Amino acid sequence: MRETLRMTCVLTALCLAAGFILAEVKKITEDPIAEAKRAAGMRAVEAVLPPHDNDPGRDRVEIRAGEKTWVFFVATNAGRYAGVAFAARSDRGYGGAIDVVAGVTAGNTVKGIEIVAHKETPGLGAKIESRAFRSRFEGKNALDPSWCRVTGDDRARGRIDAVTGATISSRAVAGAIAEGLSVLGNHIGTLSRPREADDERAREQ
Amino acid sequence: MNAHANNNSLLRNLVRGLWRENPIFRLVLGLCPTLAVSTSLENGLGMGVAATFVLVCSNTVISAARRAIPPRIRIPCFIIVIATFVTTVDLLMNAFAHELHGKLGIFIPLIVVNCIILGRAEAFASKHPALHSAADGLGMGIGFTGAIALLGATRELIGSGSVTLWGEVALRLPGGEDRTLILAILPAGGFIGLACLLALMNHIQSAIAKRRGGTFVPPEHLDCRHCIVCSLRDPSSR
Repeated sequence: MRETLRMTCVLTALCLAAGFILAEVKKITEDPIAEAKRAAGMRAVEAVLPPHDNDPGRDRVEIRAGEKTWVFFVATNAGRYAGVAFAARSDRGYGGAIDVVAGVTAGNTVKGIEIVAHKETPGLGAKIESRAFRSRFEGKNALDPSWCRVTGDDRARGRIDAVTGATISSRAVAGAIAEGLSVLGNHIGTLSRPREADDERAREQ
Repeated sequence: MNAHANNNSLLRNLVRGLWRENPIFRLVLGLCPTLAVSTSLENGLGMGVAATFVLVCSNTVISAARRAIPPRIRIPCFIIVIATFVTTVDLLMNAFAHELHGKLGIFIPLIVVNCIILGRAEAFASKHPALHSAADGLGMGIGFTGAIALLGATRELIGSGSVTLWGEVALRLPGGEDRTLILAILPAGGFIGLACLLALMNHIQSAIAKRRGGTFVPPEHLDCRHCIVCSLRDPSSR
């Protein structure tokens, strides 16, 4: 009985101490973690946007389409619309979700894409990160994403050559971008409207 | 005199993990993270540093508290201490080395069940003073880091044609990207690479033993015959 009591006390004290330490560590790291996540996302957004002089992280527009909420980062240069970027996610990767970011110019062509996070196979699916694969999206028409399919799936219109040995990963990326582009196409009028008009509208309301 | 002997054994405890009782090559412990994370030099180093931190901290705390921990519940106590440090590393890495944390992913939390850490807590820290346990943890950690980094560099070189360190290419395979063998960075390549390195280790040790006119026999305390981790007997009754 005494031993049982002692074991209970030791284990309880140990757990209390562990809990206290972890609570403190969490408090210290909470903000840096959120900041690091945001910075990683914004680095990708900055990389795919055309030159601009605003902070796209602040000039963001949220649009609901179906189940999902899309976040669009609008870039302006000297007050004029310069382009827009959006984050998209595919749940159809080979190893789980793939997070991508795509940027579109004011002329409505794809400026570039970045892979923010993925769990694809190193050496195969992970090659979706490569410049060679990402560049296949560049310069394409952003308002009609019918090209945004793997060539093997749609020989007539698909223009994205899959990474060799990684068709599933390539298809997931193309699918996520195509979905984002079609939402973008439906709302391009709202997104490219001069920001001042937006401010006035806010003031009126 | 006494202090001198003490320093000597402290150094011995530190050095032991580097080669003679290297956790991967000699004790063959902690193979799950070793095989999974050793796809590149940087991943191997990151994993090694994280595990070393946990190993030193847990060894020190467990050793300091060894008289207060009742023998029957020592394993749960060890696990709580280890899990606390692992979670701390996980949070700190996520905050201050975000990119590396993304690459190592699930394997950081899995340090909790890394055999090396529980093995050292049970086999060393629960029987020796704190300073010596810290030295043992540091030595074992460096040995683990060295082994996983070596395996990582080998696999990265063969599998992707070059080795990257701190974001810069440190070593390039002659022939470049055309001569790579993707198998090396796939899971199967981990097994094959580790087997080759182990065979190389054994070959070197046999050659050394032969030169001295004998044959290489691994010490008994380095294989399964000595292990007490799986047996939950009360150590006082042994």
